[in-house]
Amino acid sequence: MVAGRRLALLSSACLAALSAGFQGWHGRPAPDGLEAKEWLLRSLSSARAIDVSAVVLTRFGPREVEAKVRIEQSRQGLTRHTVLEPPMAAGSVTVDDGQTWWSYLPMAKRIFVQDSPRRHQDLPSYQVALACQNYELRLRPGPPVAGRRTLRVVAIPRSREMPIRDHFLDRETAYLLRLIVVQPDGVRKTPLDTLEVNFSPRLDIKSLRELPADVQTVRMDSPKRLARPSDARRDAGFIPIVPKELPFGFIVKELQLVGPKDRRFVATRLVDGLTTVTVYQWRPVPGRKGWPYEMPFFREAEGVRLTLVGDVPKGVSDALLDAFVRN
Amino acid sequence: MNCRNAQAKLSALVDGELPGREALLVREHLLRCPRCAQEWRALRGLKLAMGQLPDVEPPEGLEERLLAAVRREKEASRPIRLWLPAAAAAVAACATLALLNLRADEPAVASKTLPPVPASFEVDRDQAYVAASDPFGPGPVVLAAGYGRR
Repeated sequence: MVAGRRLALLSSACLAALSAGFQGWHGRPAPDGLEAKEWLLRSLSSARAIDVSAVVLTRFGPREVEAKVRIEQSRQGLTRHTVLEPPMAAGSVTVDDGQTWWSYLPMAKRIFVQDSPRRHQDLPSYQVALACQNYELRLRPGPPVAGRRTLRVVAIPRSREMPIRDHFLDRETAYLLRLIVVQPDGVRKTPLDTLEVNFSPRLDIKSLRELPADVQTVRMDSPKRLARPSDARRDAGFIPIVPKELPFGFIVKELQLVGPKDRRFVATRLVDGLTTVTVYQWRPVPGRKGWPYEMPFFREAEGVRLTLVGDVPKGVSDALLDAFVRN
Repeated sequence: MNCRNAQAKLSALVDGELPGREALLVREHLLRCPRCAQEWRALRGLKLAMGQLPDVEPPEGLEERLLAAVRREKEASRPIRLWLPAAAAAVAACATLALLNLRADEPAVASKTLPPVPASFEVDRDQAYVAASDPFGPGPVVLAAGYGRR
């Protein structure tokens, strides 16, 4: 397994060396002297404050569903994502202004409204500090992506069970254009790839906010931060498990109360600086249908069921869940 | 896609005759352009209303009576009264507009409560929410457009 991982890293490094060779740039720091950590920080802190129009390919979920999405972002922090493919999701639109998140799903003829998820975003400096604890960051030259010059911030995990994450950042704006994840067994995935991008688009702010007027708007409860685990007892009917210690450098970022009013349960958000994993916890109720009662569960402890969702290898997922049960 | 191109394709879009890529481009335009979207809604409503009109069997002997009437008109060498079909068309148009107005008054979705949806969709929705707060995540997580459908 380790050999496969080394091989993958080596092949990745060879590609980079080839690419760098042509540019006469052999892994030295970028010309303006910024280190990998600073590029990562710049990408996190300023890449949201620029005008962008892009078409990206994303692959997500355990089934690796591929989707083509148009991203429009204004420097004021307004983003609009329009799904172009696959047909089952085409026409869906999400708009986020940093305060509110609108999600329009055409076949459902509904617009779901929630607080913006960006309200839950970590401070960039904190996120990068955590990433530096868990990964060795290396700055490498990158190949052009969507016609743009790139830099790669390669994050090599200190735990061999975690995947390598290769970030291709735009050389001028630090905007993330491509993400490659190399699993410990050498399998490469590209969860994000940019097909076309324009950093000086003519954006009409009014039209970015535009959503159909003749559909039902449904206000959804946003995940609610729990100050203490015991706060979940009133709404969810149980006290969630909080592991004392987590492997691979993960920490508990937040406990959140999620789900509709009659079916509240707890989402435990775990982060390692570059990866986010959610452990859902709920108390089973015989005969209850819907979310979360019908979710498959992987562990059960203290009368609470646990399921993990996140893009991590199975060994990591198992070890994280075991940490909850060991508690 | 501009308004002119989109409007030329609205009818085909309503009839489901546009190939996938073109349909997506037109739908994308409709999301941005309220005027074309209004046109699309009106056209869709009209076609829907037309499709719901019952088939009417002509009364027996209508064809013969019509032919005989035409012959009589010809013999009399008088101009055909054009206002009759025009009036009929106006009545039909009014009926269609009334039907459309009635439909426009209906709420887009009548139900007040959301039905339970499969757990996997809810997980996807929560993960989409998480991904939107994660700048180094895999980008936008896409939900099936039918999520939350009755």
